[in-house]
Amino acid sequence: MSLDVGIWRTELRRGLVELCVLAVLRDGEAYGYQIVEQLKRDARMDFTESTVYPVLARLHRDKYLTERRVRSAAGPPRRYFCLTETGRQRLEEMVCQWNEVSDRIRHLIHKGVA
Amino acid sequence: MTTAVSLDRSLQHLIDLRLDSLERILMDSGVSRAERMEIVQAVEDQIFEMLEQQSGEATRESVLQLLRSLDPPEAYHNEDARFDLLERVPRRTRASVTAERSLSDGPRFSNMPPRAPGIAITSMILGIVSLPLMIIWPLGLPLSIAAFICGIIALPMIARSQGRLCGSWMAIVGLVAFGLYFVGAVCLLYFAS
Repeated sequence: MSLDVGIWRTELRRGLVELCVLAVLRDGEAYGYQIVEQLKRDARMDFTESTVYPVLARLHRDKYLTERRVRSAAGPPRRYFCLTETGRQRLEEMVCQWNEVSDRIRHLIHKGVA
Repeated sequence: MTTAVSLDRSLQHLIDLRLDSLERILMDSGVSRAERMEIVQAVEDQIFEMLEQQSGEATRESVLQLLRSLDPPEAYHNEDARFDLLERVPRRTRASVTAERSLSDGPRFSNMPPRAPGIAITSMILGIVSLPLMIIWPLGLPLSIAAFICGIIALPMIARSQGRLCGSWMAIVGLVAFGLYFVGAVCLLYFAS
């Protein structure tokens, strides 16, 4: 991958991390490390803890997420995050935007190729 | 299977050093206290989760290896730097450099190696140069006094830098040279009179 494409890919990921975190939480609550692992496994976009945890903290601060503390077998209590109603609305809006943009871009690319 | 992780104090200290270092980076980046606490706690949770998943008792080596596998504190600097760093620098290299530094020398703010401040170097040079000029005291005296002042300023500056600055020995050389100059000058005056 050339440097220019690498930079573009970075910018693309930057814009998608929040959507991906919200999407992971759509089906139920999850704790931080679980979200990181699921993103690595499912999204395969190399999101790591340093990209995910600050976004989680910001979303929690902005009341898009609530947290529930559960005693852990070892170490500090585990914090499960869950979407609030506004968080769910935000996710739906972002998904709509994403679908619209990706459809248009796909159309543009295929039109260009044809 | 979940197993309870009990860490002895030295291993807990390694983890605490990493978390302290992370908190400082976040503070430097202007992250609010509440968010800082959240992020640090999330990383701590992850460390304990990973320890739980490890088979066998945690050792110094296994904890160090685990910390090396995490993103370094510098990766949290701010959102722009975070992505750039992840994209351009190999993960293992970054992690190992940070882990080695933060665990062997205590927490620092960045990946930069410690440097000697100019004022400490100046103190040493002025102090050393002033000694042979003892014979021409109108020239040597101001140099020696300047070495003393520079040394006095440099020492607390280095002490407060939390590892970012080094070279306190240079400031001490400057102060010792001032002392030698003072004693030598008194002796010269005594024998000359």
